Amino acid sequence: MTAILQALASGLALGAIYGLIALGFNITYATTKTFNFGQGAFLVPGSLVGVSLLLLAAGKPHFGNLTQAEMTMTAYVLATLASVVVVGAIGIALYYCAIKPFVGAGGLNWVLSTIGFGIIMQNTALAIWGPASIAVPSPLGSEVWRIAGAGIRPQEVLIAVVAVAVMALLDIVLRKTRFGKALRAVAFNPQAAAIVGINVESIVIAAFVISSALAGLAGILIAPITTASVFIGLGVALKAFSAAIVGGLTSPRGCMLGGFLLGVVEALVGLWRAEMREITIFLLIIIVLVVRPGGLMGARSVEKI
Amino acid sequence: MTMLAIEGLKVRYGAVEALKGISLQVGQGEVVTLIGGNGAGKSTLMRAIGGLVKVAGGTIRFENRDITDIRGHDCVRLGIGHSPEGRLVFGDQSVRDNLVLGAYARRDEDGIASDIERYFGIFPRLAERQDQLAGTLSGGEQQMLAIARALMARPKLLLLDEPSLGLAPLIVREVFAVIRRLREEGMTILLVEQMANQALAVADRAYVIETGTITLAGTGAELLRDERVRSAYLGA
Repeated sequence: MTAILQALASGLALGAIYGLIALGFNITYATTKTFNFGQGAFLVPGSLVGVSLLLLAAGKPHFGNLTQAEMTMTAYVLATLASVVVVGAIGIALYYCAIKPFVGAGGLNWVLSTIGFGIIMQNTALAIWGPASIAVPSPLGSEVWRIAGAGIRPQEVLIAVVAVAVMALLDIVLRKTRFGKALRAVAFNPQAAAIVGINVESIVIAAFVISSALAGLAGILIAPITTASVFIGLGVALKAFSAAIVGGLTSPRGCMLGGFLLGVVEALVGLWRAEMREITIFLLIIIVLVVRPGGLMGARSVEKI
Repeated sequence: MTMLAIEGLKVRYGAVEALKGISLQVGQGEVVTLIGGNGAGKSTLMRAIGGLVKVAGGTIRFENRDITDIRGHDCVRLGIGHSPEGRLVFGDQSVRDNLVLGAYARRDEDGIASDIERYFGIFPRLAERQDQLAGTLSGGEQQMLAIARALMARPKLLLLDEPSLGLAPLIVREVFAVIRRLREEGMTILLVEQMANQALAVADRAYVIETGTITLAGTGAELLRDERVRSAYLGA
């Protein structure tokens, strides 16, 4: 029972990460019918930039290891902001290099261009940071919390809380604010959006900035659990992509739901037999898609013909 | 005073020349209608004025300002409201939010709120359904919403593209009643229509467009009596 609770907590934390990245897929897909296939690589600067800034601030080389004393909550919050800003800015570059030349032209060139952009970025990171991973202490310490007998890592709680807060905030922004209504208007029909005076391209750029910033946030949130390294993103991004498809690429709430669902299933099955984890998850994905092709909360038909 | 002046306007879609040198004027306070068959270039002309297609030649001037190469989203800020062909209401947002988005280029919150109430007064069906998603409205209601959304920008010139398309005769009458009311209030309107009869009756002046060229121009009453118009567009 405690093992299940423990797995549930890990699953929710991991699922929150999937959900954040999946939400990024949703926002750009809604506005451009494209998304960043290289999103996994965006977790890399997310984790490394913030951590390296803290290392430099502590007077160490940028690829050393951080001690617990150097990782205060203030330091972590600042590192997170730095990561989000830097990776968000990379999102602008992504738009101009990998999306703008191909969007609306039909075809799948944007798939390769976004994968390529990610690979370029990952290898640039490799040149800067090298292949070794950096141990990142959690700002809440490494002491395991005992909740109902189950040992729960404080960073897992932090991840879930931050991710849920960010998701709730985005949900409100998309539904209630002028920007959110404009973004949804662009998603619904770019021409109609232009007619009422919405600058469609600036909304699209904003969508890529948000999507990238979410991946950056995911990178720094997960770093204390996985360590920060050039290789952290790929597996996570594939699961996040699956989460978006299962939950419904067209639905923000569906993407979040998909994330949590995948995280929890993965953790619970892993408890039973680790090698069954991926098998179960991807079987489940196929079954869901057969029954509901648009995902759990997605539109009934994904593409209008 | 001339509000909109178009000279020798050309638009190409690939190798096809959709507009082959169109010239027309709309004076302040005038209702001008453009009639013509399917594919004559009516909507292309509207889209060119609204900055939604690239112009290949000629000029468009609005209030003596060259807007030939204007970007679509800047058009509304100059005072051109557009109720597009096919209505294009934001189907996944509420009726009220569609109106709020119509005022996207404005920043006067109080004015926007009072305008929404004003159009709810003019279009009571929209008031009844203000919290409903626009996509769930009937065609006629969506058309009213598209017009109201365009008016929310407080335009000086209203582009009305095929407002009667696909609507039942009774609803078409309602739409034209709205156009008459706007005309009485002094709104300048460029109306594109296939319902030539109704359009000519409401218009001060009219142009006939055929395969990208203006073939006939005159007052609404003149064209209503014109033999060629009667046989080609009025089924007489």
